[in-house]
Parts: sequence; C-alpha cells; structure tokens
Amino acid sequence: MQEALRPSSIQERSFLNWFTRSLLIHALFVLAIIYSSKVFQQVMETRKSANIKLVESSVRVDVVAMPKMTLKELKAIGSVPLNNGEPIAEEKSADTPDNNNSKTEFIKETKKKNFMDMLKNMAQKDVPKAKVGKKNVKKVGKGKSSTAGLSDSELKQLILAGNKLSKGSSLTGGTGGSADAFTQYISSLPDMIRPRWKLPSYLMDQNLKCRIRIFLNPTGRLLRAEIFESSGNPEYDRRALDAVKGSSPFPELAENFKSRGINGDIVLGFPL
Amino acid sequence: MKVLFLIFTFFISLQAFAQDGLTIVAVGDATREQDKIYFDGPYIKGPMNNVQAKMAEELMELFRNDFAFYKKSFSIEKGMAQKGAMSGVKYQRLRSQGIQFLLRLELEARGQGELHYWFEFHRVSGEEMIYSNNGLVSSGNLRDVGHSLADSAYRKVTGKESIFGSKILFVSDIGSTRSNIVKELYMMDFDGRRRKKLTRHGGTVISPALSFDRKKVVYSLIRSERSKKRNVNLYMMDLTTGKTTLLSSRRGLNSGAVFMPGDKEILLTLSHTGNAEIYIMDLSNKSLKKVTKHFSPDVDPSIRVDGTLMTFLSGRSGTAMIYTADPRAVEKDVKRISFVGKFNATPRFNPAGTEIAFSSWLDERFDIFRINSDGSGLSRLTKDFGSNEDPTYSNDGEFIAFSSQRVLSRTKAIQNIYIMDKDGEIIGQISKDFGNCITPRWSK
Repeated sequence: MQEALRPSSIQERSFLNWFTRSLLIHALFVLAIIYSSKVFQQVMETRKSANIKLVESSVRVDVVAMPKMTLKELKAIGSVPLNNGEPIAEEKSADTPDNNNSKTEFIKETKKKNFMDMLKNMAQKDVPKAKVGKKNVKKVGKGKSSTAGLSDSELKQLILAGNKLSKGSSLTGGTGGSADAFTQYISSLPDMIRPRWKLPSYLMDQNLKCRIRIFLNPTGRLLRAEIFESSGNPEYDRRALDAVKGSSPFPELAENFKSRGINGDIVLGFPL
Repeated sequence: MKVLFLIFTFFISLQAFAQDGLTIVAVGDATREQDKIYFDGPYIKGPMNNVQAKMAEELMELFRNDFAFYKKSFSIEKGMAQKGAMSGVKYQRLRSQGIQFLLRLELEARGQGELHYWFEFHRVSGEEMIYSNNGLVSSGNLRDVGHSLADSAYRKVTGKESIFGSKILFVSDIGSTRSNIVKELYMMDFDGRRRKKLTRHGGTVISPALSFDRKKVVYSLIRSERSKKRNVNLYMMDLTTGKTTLLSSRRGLNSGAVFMPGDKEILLTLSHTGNAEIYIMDLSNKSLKKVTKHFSPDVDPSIRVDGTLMTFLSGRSGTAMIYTADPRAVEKDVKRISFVGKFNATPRFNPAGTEIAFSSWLDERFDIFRINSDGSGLSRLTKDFGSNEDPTYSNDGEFIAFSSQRVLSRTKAIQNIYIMDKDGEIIGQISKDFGNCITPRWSK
C-alpha cells in the first residue's frame, strides 16, 4: 500500500517544488516589471517637468506687457458686482446634496460633533470612529482655526465660494429636520451684517480674525453678543461687535430652531 | 479600566455639550471706511496778541492737514475756535454725529511770542483720552511741535509711525535764467512747507540722497563751467555743520549714491573703468568694494532698510531692466525682476523691501509703476497725469512722491512734486511756484 503510494507522493513533492520555484520566479518577474515601470514613469515625469519649466519661462518673457490700466481702474472694474445677470438656478445647483463639493463635507464633519451621534458612535464597537469624533470636538473646543477638521485654506476657499453664491447654504452643522431651515436662516445673517462691517485701512492690512457668539430671542432681537475668539486687537473686536449690534433685529426665528437662537448656537466669523 | 472609561466618557460629553450645535457663519471681508476725527478748537484761554492768534490758527490747521494725508483712513470734521478753557467731553453727542476720534487743543499766551498748549486726543467709542500732552510752543518750533503731537496721536490709533515728521529732498532750478541754468538742492517738510536751500554751487545737482539719521546728504554735481575737466562728481554735506566734502571725482560717472543702513557706507555708481558698475564706498576711508561686475552698465541702486537686498537698473538683458542683488558680495543672488517695458528707470524700494516703484516709458511718456520684489504683481499707478518720474516711498511705505511734468505750451513745461498713496490715489501737489522741482527723495 505504501509502495503504491510512493511514486505519486514523489511526483507530488516534485510538483510542489517546481510550482514554488515557478511562483517565485513569476513573482520576481512581476516585481521587476512594476519596478522598471515606476522608474520609467519617474524619468518621464522629470523630463515633463523640465519641459514645463521651459515653457513657463518663455511665456513670461514674450507675452507679458506693461499694464495699460492703473490699479484704480482695475479696482473700479472689480467693484462691479460679479453676479449681475447670473442665473439663480446655477447658484442653487451648488446646494444640491449630490454636488460633491466642500460644503457637504463640512456639514458631514460638523455632524460628528453632535452629542447624540457621538454617543451612538461610542456605543458601537467601532473604536476608531469614536476617536475621530473626540479629535474633532477637541479641535473646536480649543477654538482653533481648523474648524470641524477643515484647514484654514480649505475653509477660506469654501467661504470664498460661499460669498460668490449669495443664496447658497452655509457653514453649518447640526442634525434633524431643522438643519436646512436653520442653515438658510443663518446664511442670511452675513448679508445683514456686512453693510455695517467696516474697518479703517490701518486695520484692513493686518490679516486679523475674530468670532462673535450671538444670542437671539425668537423675534430675532439680539439678546447678547460676546467675543468667542478674539483677534488680539481690541479695536478690531469692537468694530465687529458694533457691526453685529447695529444689525439687530435679525429676522424672526422659526419655531423649530428658536431654542438655538436663545442658546447662542450661532457664531459669526469676521471674516471667517 | 471601567472607571477610566467612565471618566473619559464624562469629559467627552462635557466637551460635546459645550460645543453642541455651535455653527460658524462667515461674515466675510470688511469694507474700508474712514474714521471721522473732530478737530475741536483751538480753545483760547485769556488774551492773546495777533502773532499768537495766528500761531494758534496755524497749529490747528497743521493737525487737520497732517491727518488729511491719510484720507483713506480718516475724514476731517472742522470745529470752531472758542474762547475759554476746555470742558468735559460730550462723548454721547459726538457718537451720534458718527465721530470716532476727537482732537482738541487749548492755548494760553505766554509773554509776547509763546503759547502754552494742552493737547488731547480722545477715542469716542471707548469714551477715553488716549493721548495728551502740554508744553510751550513758539513760532520757531511750532511746526515741529505740531507734527510731533499729530504723530503721537496717529501712533496711538494705528500703532504705526506716520509721515508727519518726515522730510523730502528735491532739486529745483528756481533762480535760473535762459542762459544760466542752475539746479540746487533743497529740503522741505513732507507737506511742502519750510523749504530750505542746501547747496549753492551754481551748477546742476543730480540724484541726491538723505542719510537714515537725516544728518548727511550725498549728491552729484555737474559744474556749470565748460571745460574738458567737466565731470559728474560726488559730494557729501553735513547738515548740522553745513560742511561739504568731495567724495569721488573719478573720471566719468560718480552718481546715484544712497546711504547704507548705519550711514557709514554708501552704494554708488562709478564708471571710471569704462563701464558703469555699482560699488560700496566706506565713508571713513573712501575705499571701494565692487557689488556688480558685468559688461553691461549697472546703475541707480536702491537699498532695503536692512541692507540685505538692493534693486538696480541694468542693461544686461539688452534694454534697461530692474534687477535685485545682495550687495554684500560681488554679483551675489542677482535676479531679474522686470521683463517688460521699453525703458525702465529709477527703481526704488519701499522701506520693507517688498515693493519696488519705478518709472517706465509707455504711451509716449513716463509713468509710475509698482512691482513686488519677487517680480510678481506688476501694476500701473499713474496715467493721464503728465509725465511722471522719480518715485520715492515715504518712511511708512504708504505714499509715493514723484515728479510730474505738465506741458504748458509748445516751448514750455513745468515740473512739480506730487504725492500719491501706494495704490495710485493722488493726494496732492506739494511744490508750487518754485521753478521746476525734480528728483524727490523721502527721508526714511
């Protein structure tokens, strides 16, 4: 019986032996191909960037001319509202949930800060998720500029885009059915405050930033405004506060989010 | 472990409660506005003779005029002269009139030609006096005292120095005749007042520069006599003693000198080797160090206040273009800044060294342009405003003085000095009825 089995066993061993060798050789071959393709790619990229640099410098010399218009003339052009004649439908399209822009990301991130969501996350066994939530809450709590996990530059881009789309939604979070109405409500506030938000030139150039927390009664009247995050310049903070106080009363708060006004859930960023 | 978990959960919930639902909405950038300053007074306490009354009027006018230069930041609300002492400030009333700051002055006669002043500057919103001073003023020091008080008030508001104490050097041909053109060096306050003649060579003074401590002036001179030895020589004048010394009389150009920080060395253009190059001269022993070394001419250096970067004009690209370089070694970090312009001239750094103002030939005339010192942000500042040359930044970098030529007839044109802000908003003409005024140089 054993003897009967021996030849096949030898054959099997031999097969396994050759199979392993073949596998190793093939694996090495594949790795070699991957490596050489990467090296080739790198070489190509280096050449490509060298070509681009060459093109850039030649464009700079040949195309640019002395500007015919003065700074004043250019500023006068820039002061004309850019959204004149723009279709409103295009503005709305930016708010659609399917639109894969940074706004939806912002709302998603802020949502993680919600206490109920956080408890849900904690209850789940998915520990890393809970850690992410904790990290985000900490960041906001310390008043860092990277609000809700967004970097300063991302936030600036997002807000710049928001400024262009005047009827777009906004930088809001929260959950539940009131979120949309609340979002719409708070995104109307900057338009009311901006006419009073003025700085003299010596404060304009200092790249300052402050945030003000506001408490509103259900009719929209300002109950209290306090510095949430100071710019470090008392005059700048005072002017931001004055702009908020001078803009009161704000529109009436709807029934489903009037508590958020009284609780001081709205923080106004000057400018971000 | 359980305890640790509970503590952790507790703190997390506290944080979450604190931030729950907080939403940040961006208001956006503020619009630029002027702060209204109310100039109250002067309050005249007791009797005063005519000379003293004129002094009181001049002092108040000086304050208004100084702040009017910063017209993007401040608007002026003129008050009335009043008899009697100053009383308490009615902040509520001022606030209702949209006034942000209150400047007021009380004056009392001392002897025949002096006044005792009480100067106050208030912030209306905070209902506080943010600066006050008192002392004696006479007709001899009235403008110095006035500019100094205005500067102190300006600093309290902005935290920055003002131009109120600064001076401008310039060259004028006043007194010249058709057969004898004489261009001498003058100095005036930033507002065009108190012009003072510095040189009496009877020749043509060109490219002057003031030291950082404002005690010395360097300039080049072309003597009027016609001879083979006629040359562009470099001189230095001590403003405290009035003594003039010859710094360089090498063959060819000895010009375009500017003081290095510390005032112990100057950057200058010399062409004694046959080609114009930029050198550093040690003022103690007049020894030279080469800064540029190129077969093309390099001229007109301007230095950043820390002395680590200079900008100059060079023909190394074929036409006159602006370059920057580190002046501490020969041909160190030379970088071309401008790539366009038929003919660029007189590149001048702002004090921080971030911008360069220069003139360039465009549309059959010179106009003033500005470019960042890294070569970006080329912008035009003047247009349809005569032919504009020789820009010079103010000590705070907010203004540019320049000379502008207006054609009066086919055979006559007049040049005067104007000031604009760094974005090209014209502030005003500061030289008038004083011949042709050219090459302004603002003290730093």
